[in-house]
Parts: sequence; C-alpha cells; structure tokens
Amino acid sequence: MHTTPWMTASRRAAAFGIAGLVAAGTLSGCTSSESDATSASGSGDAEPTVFEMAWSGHPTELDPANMNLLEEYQFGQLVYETLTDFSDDDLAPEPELASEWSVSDDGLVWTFTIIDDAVFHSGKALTADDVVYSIMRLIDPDVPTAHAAYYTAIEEAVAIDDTTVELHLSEPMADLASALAQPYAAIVPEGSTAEELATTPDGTGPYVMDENVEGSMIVYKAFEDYRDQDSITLDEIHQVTIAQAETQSTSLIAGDIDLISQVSAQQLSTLEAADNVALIENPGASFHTIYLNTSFEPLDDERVREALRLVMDREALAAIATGGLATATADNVVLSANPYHADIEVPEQNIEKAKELLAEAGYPDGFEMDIWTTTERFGLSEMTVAYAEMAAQAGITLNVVTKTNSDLGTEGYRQQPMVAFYFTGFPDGDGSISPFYESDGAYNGGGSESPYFSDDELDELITEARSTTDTEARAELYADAQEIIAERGYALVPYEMPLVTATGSDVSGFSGSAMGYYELFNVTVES
Amino acid sequence: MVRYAAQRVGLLLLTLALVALVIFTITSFLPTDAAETKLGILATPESLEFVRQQLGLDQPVLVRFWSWFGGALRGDFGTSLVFQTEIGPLVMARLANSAVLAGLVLLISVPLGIVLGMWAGSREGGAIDRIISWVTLTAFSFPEFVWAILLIFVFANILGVLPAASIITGSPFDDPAKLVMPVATATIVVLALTIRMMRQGTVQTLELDYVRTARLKGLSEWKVFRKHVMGNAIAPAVTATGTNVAYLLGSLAVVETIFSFPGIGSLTVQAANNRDVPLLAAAVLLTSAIVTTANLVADLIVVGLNPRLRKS
Amino acid sequence: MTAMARDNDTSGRAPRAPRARWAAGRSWWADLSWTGRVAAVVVLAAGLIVVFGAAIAPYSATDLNPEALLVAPSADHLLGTDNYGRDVFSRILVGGRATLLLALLCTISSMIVGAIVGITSGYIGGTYDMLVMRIADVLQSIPSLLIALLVLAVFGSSIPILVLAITLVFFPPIARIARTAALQVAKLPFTEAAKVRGEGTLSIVFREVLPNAAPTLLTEAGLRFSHSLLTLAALGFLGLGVQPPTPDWGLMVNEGRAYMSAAPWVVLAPAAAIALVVLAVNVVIDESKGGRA
Repeated sequence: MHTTPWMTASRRAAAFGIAGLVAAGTLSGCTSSESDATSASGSGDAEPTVFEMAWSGHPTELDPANMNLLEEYQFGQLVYETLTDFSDDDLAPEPELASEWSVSDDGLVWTFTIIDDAVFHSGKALTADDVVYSIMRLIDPDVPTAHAAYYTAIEEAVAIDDTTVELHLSEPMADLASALAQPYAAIVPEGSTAEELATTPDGTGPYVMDENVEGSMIVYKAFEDYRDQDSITLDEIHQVTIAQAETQSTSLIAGDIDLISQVSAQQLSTLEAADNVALIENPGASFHTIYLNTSFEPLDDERVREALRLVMDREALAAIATGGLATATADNVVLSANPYHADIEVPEQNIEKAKELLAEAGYPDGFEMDIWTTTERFGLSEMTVAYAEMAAQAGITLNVVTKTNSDLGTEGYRQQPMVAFYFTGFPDGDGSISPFYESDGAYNGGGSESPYFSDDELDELITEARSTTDTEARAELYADAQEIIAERGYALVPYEMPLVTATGSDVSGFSGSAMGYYELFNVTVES
Repeated sequence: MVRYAAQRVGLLLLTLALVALVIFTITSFLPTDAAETKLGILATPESLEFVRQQLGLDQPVLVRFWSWFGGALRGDFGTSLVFQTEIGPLVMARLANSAVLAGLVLLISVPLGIVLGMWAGSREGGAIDRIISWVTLTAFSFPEFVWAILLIFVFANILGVLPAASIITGSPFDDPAKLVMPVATATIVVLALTIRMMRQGTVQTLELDYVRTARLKGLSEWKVFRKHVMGNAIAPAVTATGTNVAYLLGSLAVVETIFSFPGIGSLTVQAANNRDVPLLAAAVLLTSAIVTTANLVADLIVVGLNPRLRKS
Repeated sequence: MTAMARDNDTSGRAPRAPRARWAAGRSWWADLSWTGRVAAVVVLAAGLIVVFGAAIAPYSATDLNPEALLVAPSADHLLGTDNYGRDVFSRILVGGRATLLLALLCTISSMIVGAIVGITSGYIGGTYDMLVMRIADVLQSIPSLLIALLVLAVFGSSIPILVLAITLVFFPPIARIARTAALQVAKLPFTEAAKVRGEGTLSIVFREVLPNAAPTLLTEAGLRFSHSLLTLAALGFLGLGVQPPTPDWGLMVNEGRAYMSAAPWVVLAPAAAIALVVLAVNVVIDESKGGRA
C-alpha cells in the first residue's frame, strides 16, 4: 500500500474543484454586472435612490392583456400607462393618457382625447393608432386574451385623428372609464406581438424594466424621457419576491426593504411592535371566497348550497384566517370601500338547520367532496381548513387539496367542485358584480361555457344598473342585487379584508391604494 | 489510466442520457400542460388549442423527447413556460450562484471535516471523540430547514445582524452578508457528515492488522498515523467529497428556498410548483450532470492514486 | 480480508456462522452505553406513539377552538395551541403517528424492493444484473430530494405517490448491499453444496443470503428510516408532502413558521420532535455497529 502525502493530493483535488466553482461564480458576477452599464438613471449626481418592495409572488406574465396577478399589475403600473387611472381617494376614474372624454347621448359612442406628449420607452411617440391597436387587441376574437370578457361591450375602436379615439359600444357601459383604468387595458405600441411584450416590454410609464431575475427580482430604472420628471423621485425600484411572510417583516424591520406590498395578518403584531415601521390600512380591499361549482352533484341543489352556507361561522373564520383583521360579510362581492356597497346582515352559523336541509335534499349522512386551496395567498389555506372542520360538524367531509395559485385558476376553476380564491375588490359597481354573477360573467364561465350560476332576476338588475347613469338609482339596483346574492349566491364569501401595506418609517409620500398595486410618484426614502 | 478514464466518461454520458430519459418520462405524465398554465383562469377550449400549437405541445412524446434532448446537448433547453425566457442562460446564471454557495460550503467543510474526523478517529473512545461524535450526530439529525429557521430567528430577528432574505442581483459577492446564513446552514450538515465519514475511515484503518503490527514494531503513534492512516484516508476523503456534492445539491433546494436565494435549487422548487416542465427537466438534468461528474472526478482521483482499485 | 469474521466483529461484512446470530442479538442490549439505551427507549416511545398516539392525545388534533388561538404552553395545553386553536401536544402525538408510520412504510417499501432487486440481480447476474445496476446508477445520479420533487410535481402529493417517490430514491443503495451479499454467498462452498443437493434458488436466498446480509441490511434500514423521516419533513416543509389538515411534523414546521415571533412553540415542538426521533435512531444504529457515541 503506498502512502502518498495525502494532505497535498486530496487538498489539491478539493482546492481545484472549489477554485473552479468559485471562478464560475465570479465569472457570473462579471457577466451580469454588464447590465449596470445600460440605461442611465434619471436624477442627478448623488447616489441613486433605490426603493425595494417585497411581494409574495413573482410576475411571470408581462403582457398586460394577459395579466392576472397583483404582482403583475404592479409591473404594469410602473412600465405602462392606461387611458384613465383610479384616483387615490375614491377610485373614480381620472385622466392619464386621455386628458378628457365624453359619451354620446345613447351611451354607445365614447370619445377620448389623447395627450400629445407621451413617449414609449423605445422612443416612439404615442398616437391614437397605438390606443386603437391596444384596445382592439383586448377584444380580438382570433387572439384570445385573458380579460376579453370584461370588454365585450366594445365593438370597435377608431382613430379620428392623431389625438382622438372613438370607442363604439354594442350596449351602454356606464363604467367604461373605470374599466379602461384596469392594468390590462395598458396602451402598447401599435403592432407589438404577444411574444415581444412578454420579453421586451415597451410602455409609456415612468419606469423601464432594466433586469428581470426570474422568480426573484425585477429591477426598474427611471425613464429619462417621461413627460412628468418632477413626479419621479426614485431612481431605481426593485420588485423583490419574498414568499415567506416572516422573512418579509424581518427584512422590513432590518431596513433591507422599504415596502411590503401586502402584509400577512400573522405579521401584524410583529410589525406594530416595531418602531421603524408605518402601517397603512385600506379597508374593504379584498376577500376570500369559496366557489361552489353548481354542475357537480350535489351542489346543483340549492338546499345543499344553503347548508354549506349555514355551516359557516364567519367571525370564527375571520379570526382564524386573518387574526381578526377581516370583517365577516354575507357573501358580498361588493366590498365596503365600493361606493355601491350595501350593508347586508351577516348570517349566523346554524349546524342543525344545515343538517335538516341536507336530509331534505337526500343526504342525511352528509357527503364527501374535494375543496381546493393554496398557501400562496396569506390566510386562504387557513380559511379552507377551518371551514372544512366546520362542515364536518354537519356530516360533510371536505378533503382539502393544496395547489399553487395558478393551478387554482387553470385546473381548479370550472373543473373542481369547490375552489377557494382570493380576489381584490373592484372599484366600480358593475365590475364587482357582473364578472361573478352575470350569466356570461368572466368569472362565471366567461360566456363560452354554461355558467356556474344563472339567475334571470340578477341578470336583469345587472344589465339595468350597467346602463343607468343616475347614481342613486344604480345604488338601489345594486342593493337589490346584493340581497339576492346573500340569499342564493354560489360564491361563498365569509369575510372581506383590508389591504395592509407596511413601509419603513423613513419612507415618505407613500399613500397606498386599495387596488393592491402602487404608482410610486413623489415617494422618497431617507438614506 | 487514460483508457479507464475514457471508459468512465463514456459511461457518464450514457448515464446522463438515461437520466434525461427518466426525467422526461416522469414529466410526460403531467395532467395539465403549459397552455393551461399560460392562459390562466379564463382559458377557453379554442384559446388552449391555439397556445398548444404555438408551444408545440401537440406532437407525440418521443418526438418531443428527441427534440428536447438533442437541443439540450447543444445547450438549447427551450423556453421556460412560466418565465417566458430562454432556459439555458437562466439556468446557467442560477447555477453560477449556487456554485458560489456550494464552493464556500465545501471550502469550509472538506478541510475541517478531514482534520476533525481524523482527530476524533485517532482518539476513539476518548473525550474529544465523544464530544465530536455527539455534536455531529445532533447536527445532522436536525433537518436543514430547522437550522435555517433557528439561525434566521437568532441572527435576523433577535440580533438583527444578518439579512433574513438573500436576494441577489449581479454577483453574489456584492453583499457577502447575504451569503453567511445560507452557507452556514448547509455547512452544518455537510461538515457533520464529512467528519463522521472521516472518523469512520480513520477508526477502521487504525484497526487493520498491519497498522497494529507497525505499532507493535515500535513506530511512534504519529509516524504510524502519517505513514498509514493518512495515506488510506485519501480514498474515503475524496469519495466523501463526491457524495457530499450530491447531498449538497439536494439540500440546496431547501436552503435556497428558505433564504430566497436565486440559485438552481430554488429554481427547481419553483419549477416544480409551477409545473414548468421544460425548466424543471433542464434543472434536474443539469444538477444530475454535476453530481455524476463530481463522482466521476472523485472516482478517477481515487483510482489514479491506487491503480489496484480499477475493477468496476 | 479473511472470509470468516472474528466473533466480535459486528461490521457484518462477512457471513456469520448461524450460532453467532442469536448470541449477537442478546448481547446487543448489553453492549449499549447508557446513552444508547436512552436512545433505544426513545425509539421505543416513538413506536408506542405510532400505535397509541391518537388514544393518549388529550384533545382532538383537528378540532377548531377560536377562543384559544395561539395560547402559550400551560397546564391545559402542554405545548400550547396553534393558530386554529388546536392543541399542539395532541397534534404532535397524532402527527407523530402519521409521520412515523409514513416513514416506516417508506423504509419497508425501499427495503423490500431493494432486497428483491439486489438479490435477484446478484444471483442471476449477466445482462439483467448490468441493466439493473445501470438503472440504480441513474437513480443515484439524481439528488434524492430532486427525484422526489419531480415525481410529486407530476403525480401530486398523495400518500401512495409519496411512498413511491421515496422508494424510488432509496432502494438503489439497499439493492447494492443486497447484491453484494448475494454475490458473496453465491461463491461460498456451502451454496454449491446446496445446489447440488437440489435446493431451489428461493430457499437458498431465504436460508442463506438474507440471514447473512441481515445485520448490514438492518443497519441500512435504520439509516433509511431516519433519511425517510428527514426527506418527508423537507417535502412537507416545501409544501409537497402530506397536505393539511393532516397533522404532519414537517408540515407543522412549515405552517408554524409564520408565527415564529409571536408563538415559537408552534414551530419548535414539531422541529424538536423530528430531531429527537432522528437523533435517537442514529444513536442506536451508531452503537449497534460497534462504535461508541
């Protein structure tokens, strides 16, 4: 047996390998720092101000027309612009790329005046043609996009001249201006394809996407040619993906990040206790819901649905899932921040009655069913597990199946009997009810399949309210609709939640938004 | 030796091809495809068909495997279904980040593990040995994620000296503080394993007949150690390092996820959660390639040093 | 290496004379240090939890209690309550049953598959052997957690799939050991004699190969058990293992993490449980191999 000086031999081997690995690492460092050389930052000679915001998910869909997630809307908010925007105080539509608009008397033609000093990041000036292209793309029947159903009222968009666009509708749509403020209605350059938009975004917004570290962080740099330079106070913005709530709050308290986009209820006490954190609460911003797929037995029987409604102890669910942050509601999809919200009495839990109804419907011993949920939206999984426990008291066995948030949408929706979802509230009357409860609503089957739920009375109310312009009359109609929903709706909504945002106390000028994503104008960070 | 090495490299390539086949076969069982993932909550049958054609999902399985594997050999892994970017550069960038973590872990645990392991082994049954054995036993009985949680709690929550998340753009060396806890977490377990392996090897060597003979002949303990034990320690040391690379790459999946570190491990977990088949397959394939190569290198070193071990 | 082992060589590398096996079993307990005996008792306790866990739990593991959310450990609740108001101690007991049973199932499954594959491979030899070993190589080239991730991502996280994934990951090393044992026995003179006598292959396997490989296989089984436990815990932590509301130690660590600052007992209890069982099993294995911990 020969004995080579072992230290040298294996040390060499190890060192060689490690040197190789470290070299690879440094090499990667060199190649990826080339991005610093591109797009110079907007403001002056001082250290660039970097704003770090933490989100629990990473934007994967960068084409505005196909965006679905809040983190993606945030991307759209920084990089793109829409014709109108939601005002900070009451979410009413205000001008953005459109300086003014008017409606014809029959409500079928809307005329928008486009501003003339907006420029795309690529350098191209914004004209009416870009607006027409963007809107037509939303409703193009040949290239399906995710939100087409929301804009079915639009038949055609026409450019009258360089700064005027007409939208021709097939039926009156009172909330069109609000609908156009949604991030999916972003204005993109004429002719851009889905592939281009997915990889090289080009908008008129105040920030340019500089780097996209997939699944981890997006780096934005201020757009030097943005028309309103004074409002841009941050040179660089980082949209950082931190999936664990615990890590988000630790990072904020330590000063590693400046903003938590959506604070998990479990972290509230920790953040409240910290002395360098400011919390902003926007009430009635979002809700959790359980979809009952009425095409599955026995959910087609309204007594069974009523039983499922009665086993719910809404206050307890609010306490368990959100630590008391949420407010119990009566399955209402029109949240308290919405001007058309009506106060409906919250039903009490009634296990006995639920059992009776089940027996009546032919299920004296209850039944078994899968219920889908996700851990990617704080509190949703807890709500589902707790609800399953409540249903068990009436003999109903719900098997909790945990999936990713996107799975809920792709495999759960329409294909599973019960699916739990998280939704942010819609700012207008029609936008909050019709996607769920109109027979061809986007979240109700989208017009191409049989709806979850179809109720003539509700359809009538919705259609009428949509085209009524008198706010008081609309409020009454929507109140009636909310009563009906509380009585026989298919989407159980145990509670609504405020949106709580947290910033470091050295951040000023940030006001939050009930929409869940933020424009960051006039925000400053003391270094 | 060269012929042996060539044989082993050939074997490696064959193994990798089979690994690719296994990976691809498993992923072909997915119930939903990327078209559904892409279109989200409002997909209709027509739009699904359209996107499926665009992504080439309507072709038979074998055709898809061949086009995938052929591309992989050329370095083209296609496009990530969820991130909509080329997989090759994405995976390489992540791999480089993980390499830094792995490199640092090995840098610490290999020399330290060898030294401590030999020390413990040569003092078998003594106080040092017992302390080291107990500490290492405890260290790898706790899963990595438990260590990570404890470290974060102490150093980030309570003491506030280290960042809780290790999110990095550019070079991982830009902010070394972000590397400390992930490296520490992985090192705890890998170091413990290395020490134990080395200790075992040392104890066994010291029990061998000819070593006892050497002692009886009057050689000093140190000379016995240097002449026989250290020489016999190369093989287990190198093999141990190879095995540890395999273990390390697996545990990095958990460690990187907890610390939000953008490495190949966290990418694999994300791809798994997103059902991003091309990305998942590419990440697992590349990781396996590294493992196999590391083991091959370790093997070649051991055999190179002791040609008598050249049997299969 | 000589073919016949010394009496006190417990490494199990060479076949033993039949009489030595029984004596080894009885002296096993005597050979353990006091720490080893403590560890063995812990393992026994874990076994008892598996059998009686649900019966001795003071509360239900799944009943909600909105009045008592996140209560600190007290006389009423030995380990406090979690964010649903559920008693943590009860969840540890019931969850222990689920977790340990699953780990046991995975271990047994890997052992059986590995033993069958390895022994047949060693015995039959030839192309079959080469093919099987190639497949084992391939499976060992993919880090275990990643294969599990792959399988679970595709097939979902049901119990049978979890067992399948872990078995796939852990049977190769066992197959190798079994194969080596089979090869060694196949060469021994008394195997030839048995064949000449007309004994069937199966009986040779059961009467000669298995008993001789038993000590090593047993040690390996212990290792596989603790590895299964750790892997299942990691999968549970990543959200790909057992699903809520089933109590599972790894899942409990994951779920409890969000409450770390406010209610650390929700995380620490299951984490300590995992570590304790793995530690105990490792100590027992360690000492049984002849070393001292």
